[in-house]
Amino acid sequence: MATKVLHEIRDPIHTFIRVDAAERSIVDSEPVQRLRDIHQLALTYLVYPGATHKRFEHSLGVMELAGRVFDVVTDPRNLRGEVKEQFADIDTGGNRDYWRRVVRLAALCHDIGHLPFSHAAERDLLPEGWDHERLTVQLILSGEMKELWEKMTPPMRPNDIAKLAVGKKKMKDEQFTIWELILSEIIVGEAFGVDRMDYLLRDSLHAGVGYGRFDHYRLIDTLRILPSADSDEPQLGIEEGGLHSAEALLLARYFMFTQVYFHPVRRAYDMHLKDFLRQWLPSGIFGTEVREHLDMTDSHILQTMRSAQGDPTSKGNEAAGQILGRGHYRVLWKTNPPDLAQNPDAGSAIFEAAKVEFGEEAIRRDQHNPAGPVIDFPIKLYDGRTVSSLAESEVLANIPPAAIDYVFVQPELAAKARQWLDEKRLDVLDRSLAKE
Amino acid sequence: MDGAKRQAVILALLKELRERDSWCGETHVQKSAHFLQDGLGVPLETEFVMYKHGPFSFELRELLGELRTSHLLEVELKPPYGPRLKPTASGFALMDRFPNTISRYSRQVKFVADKLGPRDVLALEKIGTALYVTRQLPTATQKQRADEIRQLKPRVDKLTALAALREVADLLAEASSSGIEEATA
Repeated sequence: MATKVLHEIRDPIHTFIRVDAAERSIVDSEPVQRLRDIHQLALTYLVYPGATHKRFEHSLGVMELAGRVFDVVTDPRNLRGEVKEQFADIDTGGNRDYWRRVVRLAALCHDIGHLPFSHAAERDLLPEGWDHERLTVQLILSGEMKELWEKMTPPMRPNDIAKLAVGKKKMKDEQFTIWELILSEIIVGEAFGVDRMDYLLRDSLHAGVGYGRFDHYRLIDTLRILPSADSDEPQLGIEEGGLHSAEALLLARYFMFTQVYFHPVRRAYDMHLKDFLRQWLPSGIFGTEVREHLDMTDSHILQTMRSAQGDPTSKGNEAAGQILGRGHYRVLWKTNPPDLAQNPDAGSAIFEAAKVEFGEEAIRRDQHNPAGPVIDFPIKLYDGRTVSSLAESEVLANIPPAAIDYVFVQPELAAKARQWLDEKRLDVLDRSLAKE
Repeated sequence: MDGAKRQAVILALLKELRERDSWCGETHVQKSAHFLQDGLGVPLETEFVMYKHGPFSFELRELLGELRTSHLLEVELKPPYGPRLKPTASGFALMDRFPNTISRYSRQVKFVADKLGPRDVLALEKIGTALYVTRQLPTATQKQRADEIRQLKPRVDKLTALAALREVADLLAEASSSGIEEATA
């Protein structure tokens, strides 16, 4: 019987995702299969019921897009001038096939280190210095996967996969060549990372909101490795014709963050989930051993949560009720320009004052700033010049950063606390402006 | 240095850079903050790594984003050029709340603004890379450091690398001789 060399997987975003036999061995590996049981957006489905999709299909989508971007940016017709000279050896000694496979496999594996419920618990429930990227690197380099990398033709260097899967930001001690930096940018780059492209399209589809859509076909087609506008080193950029799709991608990101990822009720559920896990996990945090990590999935936790909800003596009973019984905390305050003008640290001022008024247990704060100041990349103009995107697009330079600062209150105290804040707001904001 | 004090020092750096006609884009702030911390010992508590265009701190990038979302810093557009970063009125108010911290590091901040402020991005990239390598290889000769720069940035020729290293050594010596406490050559 003939062995199938190319496998097609149906996908709601990319229609077909094709994997060859070697890639299939990684798709079928335990770390990747585990992602079938990790919700992409944690408990977001309690707010947006359709958002029940998993990290598994996202990882396949990222692999598909990474391959497409690699093909476009390394196409000899798209490499020009000094950049072409700098990467002249791409078509020698099987380099192109090797690195194409590294890019696709790194993309497939980029999320295998995720904890149950993805990002929800990552910041607070891992030992100091650990995050999902470090777990991803550990798994890629582990004995479990080593054998699979070695079986490939040519054998894959696990460190190449790890570097591209998480990028320089998460492997600070590793030296990256410019080539490796550019390839990792294909996956995790701030501007055009395919991780971002896939999650915006996929989360938008499943959450049932249109905000995450943009013309990714056009965008990918115009991606190029370009000399930076004001530096010696090349980086990922676009041809001028792709500028509007790049703007649409970055606007999509802004809208998805403000409308979906930072939805206050979704964030409140994350908080209660962390409370539950803190009480339920034997040492209050997740372990980082490979086996322990692979055994921990969303189903396992949801099952214990349901048991805990029905048993008042069980660890995590209260938090389980807040999640499954929809008794989540309510928004008391959220960041806003007038309050920040009054006091740049308005969130802390209100949080501290509310705790004094209503008690430590009744008040919670959730603060997150995920982005840098502005995203800049080179654009190749029709006349051949390369310029900074921020010089060319007023849209890009004006997209506000998405960030949150919420103060939450217990549901029973919500009305009283809101009335208190209405009356005391100015006093609270002024009170904490002491000089050092 | 805690969060708010660190914000105040970065805003003071922006202010001093702008007063010296620095373009004050993100790259200028990144490279100046790198010199401030790794050259002159101001404890910004941020890690700089060798990235595409020289030393770069992902934490500082996040801090600049945080300053922007807190309306302490704004992005000033100057088409057809890139954006400049600028402290807002609230940013100045924050600096006013930390007079002791600002004053403790004021000489270092002004030194960096004087020396790096007028330079363009390419020059800052070279100085930054030379300082990074100097700190990474404290006991190496300048020639060995130049080789390391060539390793990290193959497109930089040896003479340029040596010139950048010499410039960094001169700047550190000048800082040291003018009594900026934390400076070490």
